[in-house]
Amino acid sequence: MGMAEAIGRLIKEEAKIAAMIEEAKKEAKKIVEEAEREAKKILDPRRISEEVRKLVEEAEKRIKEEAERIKVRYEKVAERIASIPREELEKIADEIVKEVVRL
Amino acid sequence: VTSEIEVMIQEIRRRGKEEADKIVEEAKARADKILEEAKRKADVYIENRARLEIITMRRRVLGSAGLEGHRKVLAAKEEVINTVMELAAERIKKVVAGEDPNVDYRKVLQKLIVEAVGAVGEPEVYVYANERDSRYIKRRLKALSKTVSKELGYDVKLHLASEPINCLGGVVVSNMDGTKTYYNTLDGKLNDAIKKFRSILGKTLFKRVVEVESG
Repeated sequence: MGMAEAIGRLIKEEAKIAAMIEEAKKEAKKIVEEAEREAKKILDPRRISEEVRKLVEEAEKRIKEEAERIKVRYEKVAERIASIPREELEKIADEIVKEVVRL
Repeated sequence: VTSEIEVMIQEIRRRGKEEADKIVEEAKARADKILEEAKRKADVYIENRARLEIITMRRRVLGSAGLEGHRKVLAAKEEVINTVMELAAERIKKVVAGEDPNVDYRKVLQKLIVEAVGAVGEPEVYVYANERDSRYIKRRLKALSKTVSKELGYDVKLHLASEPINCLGGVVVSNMDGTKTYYNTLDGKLNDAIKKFRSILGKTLFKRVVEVESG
């Protein structure tokens, strides 16, 4: 191979590499742009609102169950109060009468 | 020369590929960072907004449930207290009618008159009572005046009011010009006793019931 041919091959090769790097830069730009588009979707207020709605909905279910347990607990207490035996109330009424007519 | 050129070409290719790979890798790393940052920001927004809504909802829903439950418990307590009041009022009616063998209502009435006259503190007073008691007082007005005078240690003249009052029993006593009045009816005493027992009921009976429930 003569010197001129050798230099020609080197120049050709350099050109190929320059093109390859240009391709890589284009690909890199695409990758970043794609990520930016994706990030925009992630930060989309509608998507965020939807996520918030889902979380709140799940929490609402749990809170309502908890509220139901609270109501039941109070109802049981109310039932127990309502079922205090009449004899006990009569004893208290007797005490009150004694207090009222105390001589 | 040929082999030297080949070596140079290989080196150029290697370096070129290395640089191209580096460019793409750096872009991928940057993309990852962009996405991570977006996800982090979104998570913070979502968590903050959801937490605020959930805290508000929790407070509202649980507060309302607690209030509703508390009202039911209060209503049940009120019902019990009303029953006790009714039972006590029934018994007092029996006492007043002389149907309770353990209590001499005439003595009770006499004591209530002495207390009320003493509280007014004047020598001449009007006595107000219900119809039944008014009849009894009218029959024994002089004797009662004497008893009251003896009990209080000064002369007292009782006058029976012309119109009876509406009460279970007991009396209302006022001085002659109506500027001093003392209420000593059984209704008032019953209310006072109920107030006192309401607190006792709260501290003992209701507390016991609630403790049994939570235990």
